[in-house]
Amino acid sequence: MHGPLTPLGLLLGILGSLGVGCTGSLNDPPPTDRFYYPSDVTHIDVPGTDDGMLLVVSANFDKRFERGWVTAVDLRQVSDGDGGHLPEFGATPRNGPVQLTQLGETKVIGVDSFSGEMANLRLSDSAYRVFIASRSEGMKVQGVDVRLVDGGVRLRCVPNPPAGYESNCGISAPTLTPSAFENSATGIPRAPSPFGVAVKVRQCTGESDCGEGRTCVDGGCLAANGEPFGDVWVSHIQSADSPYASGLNLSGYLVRLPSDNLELSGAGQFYYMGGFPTASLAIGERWVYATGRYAGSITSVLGGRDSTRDSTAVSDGGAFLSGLEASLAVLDTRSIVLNTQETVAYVVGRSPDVLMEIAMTDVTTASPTFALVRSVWLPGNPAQAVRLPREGANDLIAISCSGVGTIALYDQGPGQLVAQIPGVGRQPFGMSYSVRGAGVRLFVANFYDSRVAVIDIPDLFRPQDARLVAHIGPRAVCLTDATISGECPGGIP
Amino acid sequence: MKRSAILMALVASACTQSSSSVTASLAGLRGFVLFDDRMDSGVVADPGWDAGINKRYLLLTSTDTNELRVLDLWRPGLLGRGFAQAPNPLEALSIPVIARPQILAIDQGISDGGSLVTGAYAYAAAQGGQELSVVDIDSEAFFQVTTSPLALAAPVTAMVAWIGEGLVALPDQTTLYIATFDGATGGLWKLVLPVRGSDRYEKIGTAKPEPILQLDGETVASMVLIPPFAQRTLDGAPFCSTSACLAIATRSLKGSAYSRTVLVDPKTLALGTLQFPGPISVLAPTSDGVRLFGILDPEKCDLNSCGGVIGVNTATGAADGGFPVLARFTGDPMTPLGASLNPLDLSIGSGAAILQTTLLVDGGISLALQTYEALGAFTTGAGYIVPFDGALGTRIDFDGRRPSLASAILATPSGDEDSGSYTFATGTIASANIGADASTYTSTRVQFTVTPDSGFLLDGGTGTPAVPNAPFVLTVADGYLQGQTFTASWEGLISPYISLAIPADAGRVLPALSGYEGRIAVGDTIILGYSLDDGGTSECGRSSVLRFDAGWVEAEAIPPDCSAPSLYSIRAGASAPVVVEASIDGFLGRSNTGKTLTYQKNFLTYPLNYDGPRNALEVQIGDLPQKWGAYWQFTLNGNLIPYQLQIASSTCGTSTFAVVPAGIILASLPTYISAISTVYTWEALVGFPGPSALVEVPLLTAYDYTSQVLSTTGNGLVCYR
Repeated sequence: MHGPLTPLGLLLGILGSLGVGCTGSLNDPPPTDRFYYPSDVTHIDVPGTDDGMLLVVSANFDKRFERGWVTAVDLRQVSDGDGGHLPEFGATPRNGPVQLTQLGETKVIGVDSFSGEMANLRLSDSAYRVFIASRSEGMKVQGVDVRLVDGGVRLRCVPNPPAGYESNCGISAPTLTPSAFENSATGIPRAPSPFGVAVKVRQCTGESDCGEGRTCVDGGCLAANGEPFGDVWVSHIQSADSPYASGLNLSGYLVRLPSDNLELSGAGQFYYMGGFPTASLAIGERWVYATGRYAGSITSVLGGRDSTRDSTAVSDGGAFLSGLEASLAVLDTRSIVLNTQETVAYVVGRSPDVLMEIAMTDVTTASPTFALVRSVWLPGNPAQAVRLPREGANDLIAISCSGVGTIALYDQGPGQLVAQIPGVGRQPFGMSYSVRGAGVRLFVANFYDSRVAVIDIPDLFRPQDARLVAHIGPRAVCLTDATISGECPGGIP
Repeated sequence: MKRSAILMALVASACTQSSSSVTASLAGLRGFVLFDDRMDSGVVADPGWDAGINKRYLLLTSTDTNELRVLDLWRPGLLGRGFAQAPNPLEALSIPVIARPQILAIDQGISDGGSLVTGAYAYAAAQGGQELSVVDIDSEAFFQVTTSPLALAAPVTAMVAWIGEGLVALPDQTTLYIATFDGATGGLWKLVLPVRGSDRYEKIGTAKPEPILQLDGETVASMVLIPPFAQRTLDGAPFCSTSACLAIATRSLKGSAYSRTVLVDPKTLALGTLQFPGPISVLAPTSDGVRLFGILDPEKCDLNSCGGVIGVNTATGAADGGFPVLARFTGDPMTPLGASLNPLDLSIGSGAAILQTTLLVDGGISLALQTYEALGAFTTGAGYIVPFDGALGTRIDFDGRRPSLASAILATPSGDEDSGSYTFATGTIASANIGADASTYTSTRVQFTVTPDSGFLLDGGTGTPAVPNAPFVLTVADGYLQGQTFTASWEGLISPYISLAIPADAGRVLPALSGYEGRIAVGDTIILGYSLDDGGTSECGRSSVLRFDAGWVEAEAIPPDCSAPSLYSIRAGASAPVVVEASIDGFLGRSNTGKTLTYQKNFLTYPLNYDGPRNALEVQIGDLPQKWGAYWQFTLNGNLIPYQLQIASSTCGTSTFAVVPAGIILASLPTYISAISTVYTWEALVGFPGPSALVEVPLLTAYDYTSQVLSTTGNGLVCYR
């Protein structure tokens, strides 16, 4: 029952930090040679290379360091310190997964601690912007520009921090619990503990759809600098009470932010979802879908907000709750992914641990409909899901199962789990992948052992051949687990 | 006899409560299966033991810890059940197997006496895994027989094992049937393993499965063994009559229309189609294999429902049609049960008995034991356990009360029908005048005689009493009708011939809906009219039905002052002027004063003390004012509560006990009482994947009528985890 975000984990982490003389302290800046409680990972293709680049956000869950951070890792440079690198795609390492403890030359930029999901907006072949929500004191949503330049990478905060704080994106990022709202009579809207993030280029028919200073080109909005502009949607896993600190009248929202500056200008960017916190997000052609986080009783399996409507009221027809919890009384829902055609939503549930396959119809209308067609039991404590598209066939769905260190692969065709990859590491959580011919290389952020696991699926039509091939980054369990911290002579292993 | 069974059940319940929570640290309960002592083990059980019914052990997965556990259900010298002990008796026995075991199978066969017997091995596999473990299930030592799992060509999707028929001793070998899917093609394999010999484990380690069937673009979603049935035929020829067959439900990658469910003779590979109305996700046979039930894959929907539980008859099949859906007593096919409930798993207990609560008329409660030829139960996504009668294809009525008439009213019209001053005076019949024949409570139907109060009904305006003489007599059978109102009206409108549109060029031939021709008759009155701008209608004239057929009605004539009507309705004419309609069941029929109208339908719920098929409703038509629209209205209490149980959230001692039950097995289980006494009771074993707990639900217990929520303390539930 080690959820990646439990107070117990935090407590153990703090104990670990007190009891071990390992590197890292509250005053230490983010290190460049390791991940630390990585919550999510994003793979970026780098033109001219096979391996590409990895962006890993470290949650700094026990606050060992000054803040959390994003690490940009050139996958060509990771090594075992003895000349070994990432295995050739599809190869099976002779002695089990390769331990690539050396990250090589990396770039890091700070974000607030307790990060959650990371979303990626592709700006060009060499430019990306990732968005990260953090649940530390400021409840911030941060952007990081990633530019591939001169054979390397440059990271920059969005919005720009004040001079002297350029490496700390949390400084200038918007808070989702503005004090102006907290101190109002109602105390709402607020979105405490922002967690899930999704982004999509805004569709347009004219420039008025895009906002001042932006343009509409070929049906998509461009920011003032000519790069794609989109909406960043954010969930939050703690209810907002009203009045503030009363514990009463709980509410949950989705928050919409502009991708070019993340400006939060008013309550009109908070979209009411119901009396429960929201967990994870997926953006369809018209609707933004959200799962419900457990808040003392069975939550909503699936709700949505009409992205074509500006109104944030609940009774205007711009929102729905699917009511599917009546079909499966799952206590808590986590990740959600849509299939390529947006005809199926896959929702990860806990208690019981389950993957729900939900058929969707009329999703481009104001009245979409939903039906639960399959419930597949998953390995313990499933957390995140990612879609692995297949040419001419339904997608594969990869699910990280944190409680048992396993990645499960689900295929809608046979309607079953078609592979389970155990031994991935401790508390696998966020995932990303790079396409490699007929297969993919899957990267998994292991929250508790602070590594990124690498799983090769050489042929997506033979998921049973999936195999764990490497771990990237030094293992940090001796820092994070008080029960074995005494086994860390000399510091970090 | 019944009383003693109840007493024994209560005794058993009391005994098991002494250890109401039993732990083995299950982590990931995904599968469980019953088995018995090996047929040659020499274990001599209690004289009452029926090896065909009663089971000794339950094998469970602890998926997240890559092991199996054994629950010992009958422990001589010990009260209650408990997990088999490890060599260190403080620990529960662990059987390490392949990673993430979820799919289990047990060697089974049939003795020469017809009993289901257990062989030598159990098998464990993982969804998506390409290997399996073979476990020796000799009660002296449960262990995986090879150091490495057996490798397979593709991931396992289902498996079953069979040791043979007519057995007098454990055979020399057993056969494991394995369904696999490699991402594109499904396969059925046969793995023959030795049972005897000191080198049998070595031979198992090198055994290779042989392919017996290839399924292009199909995967096996469910597979069960169907015991041989001597009278089973397919197109008149014996089929699976002397040896066991496999029932296989496939899921096609090409879509649900290509999925199929078939009986396969593994020796000849002959196939017989099972006529389920859609793809099946879970199969469950009766112990004799003559009926086979399945959960319809909810991906396949029709107008009324998605999913649900339905059965087929596997005794007699036709080459062109296969084995048909089970017929109910009315002769029409069974329809899916629980389609809106998201059934998850299914089990059939052949000959199972269940203790049903009977609510008496005076509000008291009594208990009655009912035995079912095929008691079924399925679990649902909303957290329920739903028993049903597999033989009749219906759910079970939890409310033991018979139907009752709550009230009756009589509406008498007055005034001129054509003047616009036509009004109705209604009067409620005094309850004393609704006579229920108490003697009929002992059967499944009740008769009510309804007599109007003398003198209180007036023909409005005239002061002339219009008290009917002959009473209405309603005979209502239990289990068929929900609470609703029934209306018997003089010259009533006939549904659906109400406000039907008339095209401009229709003339005397009016378009009508097809399929309802049996409701109208020559001479019935046709009301012609127009639509008004305010949404209302206005009558412009009348005609009568000259002739009719599917899709049209010809009027005798169109009145000249009603030359282009746009709407018409039909009222019952003289041949059968009384129309009987129900608020839920709709049009029931038409008849005449002094005659009896009968209405048949299938059960909604199986009633207490079922005594054979009945007409759902018989209405002896009494007198009513012979003026258009005069009506009697009767309000019925159906007293139907579809039987469904829910496990209380506190059952396993956790505050957030997840309520979703996944797997279910109905079984007759032994409970050791003393050296000379073992009690056998029907239980539901229900797996809850959320807390990794197995809950034993006694079927012979008195349940809370109001909530149908079961708890450990109140209902003798036992939690194993």
